[in-house]
Amino acid sequence: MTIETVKIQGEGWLVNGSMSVPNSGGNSDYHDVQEWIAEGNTPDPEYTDEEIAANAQAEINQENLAYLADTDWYVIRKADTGTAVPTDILDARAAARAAIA
Amino acid sequence: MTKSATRETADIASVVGRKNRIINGNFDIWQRALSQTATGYGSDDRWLNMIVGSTQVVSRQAFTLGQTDVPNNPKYYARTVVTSVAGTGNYVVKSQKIEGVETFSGTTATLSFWAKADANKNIAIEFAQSFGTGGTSPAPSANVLGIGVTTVALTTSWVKHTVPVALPSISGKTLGTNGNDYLWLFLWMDAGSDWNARANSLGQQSGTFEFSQVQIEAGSVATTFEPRSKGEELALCQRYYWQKSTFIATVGAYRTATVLENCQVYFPVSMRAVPTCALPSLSGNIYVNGSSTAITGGAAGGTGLNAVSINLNSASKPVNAAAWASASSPITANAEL
Repeated sequence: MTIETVKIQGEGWLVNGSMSVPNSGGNSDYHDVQEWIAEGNTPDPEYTDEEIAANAQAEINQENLAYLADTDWYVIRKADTGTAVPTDILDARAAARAAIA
Repeated sequence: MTKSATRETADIASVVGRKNRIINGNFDIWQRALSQTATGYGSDDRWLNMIVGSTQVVSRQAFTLGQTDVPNNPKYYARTVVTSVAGTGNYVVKSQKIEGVETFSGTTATLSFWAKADANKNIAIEFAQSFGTGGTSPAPSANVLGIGVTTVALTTSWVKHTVPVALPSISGKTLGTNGNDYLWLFLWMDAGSDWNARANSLGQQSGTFEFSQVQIEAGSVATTFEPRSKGEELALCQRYYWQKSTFIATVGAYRTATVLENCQVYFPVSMRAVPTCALPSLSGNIYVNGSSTAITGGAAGGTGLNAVSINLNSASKPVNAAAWASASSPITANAEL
């Protein structure tokens, strides 16, 4: 196997962008990766800083979208019956909207 | 008339089956491609076609229907066109790693094969024993090379060649702990002088070399080639390598922000070792809460002997939402020795 790029992937490695090599000594590609590392090469991290930030923001977005969806009924009830939305709910919904990027 | 014990043994072996330790010796299975030029595994299953310096074109060739030059009506044979390039370390070798270094150790085995060339040409046969990797105290024993080195003279006609070989005992040797030990068969077609000891001073040569019905069996007699059904042969090959041009996973899934999906794709047979999996062009959709989002990529995640879990990426990443995916891609799983 000719190795061009290696990226950490869980307990194994993603080689050349498409081959997932397991951390298993019975696998012949595993030994190629070990030789590549022994030659002084270092695998890239599993996630770049940008990917980590994007994943974190995606998680924040999804949590807050879920909260807004769960509390929409307060707003609908107010429109239908005039019953006020509790202040703590209004504050939390505002915070959720602000957190979504 | 009384048969000799050897003859009787050969007669029994010829009918009981499972005598041939070569996989794809009939060259019926070509999962990866019908030809290759690069070194390594690339065309005929289980056959490791290796080059350094010189070049090769390995290809599947079809026998003429009804031919009788090679018995048992084989459908295909393997051709290697060698273009030799001068260099002491250069070579072209067709080889197969037979799982388990204990195979025929301490006994006599017999290699048989049908072969021809574009002119009268020699090839060299060699066996080696590899004790695998893993473990440090003690470390695995070093490879034993140059076993049964023999020259075989090919002609321009199909001829069956028989090569008995005394394989050394492995008593006192140390096996690696990774389960990747093997007996290794080499068919040398082109060999620079660095390889004289292992290739019986074959030397360098260009030419076309063709092989059919390769078999290695116990004992000192070459019996009739053992045909196996294509389904059985394919399953034997898939223990080491498996591919599909397209898989479609339609599965229930559980999603987090970092591990987006876990689609299980099951292998047709248990593989020899945890394989390397490749998914070069994933596409499709993930469906969450009634809406779909396009798959933007992904890779094999956890891999075992029987299945691989595939993680899929998409632009939208709902957290902890039940989802299902319809994804497609070529997929390969490689656990070759």
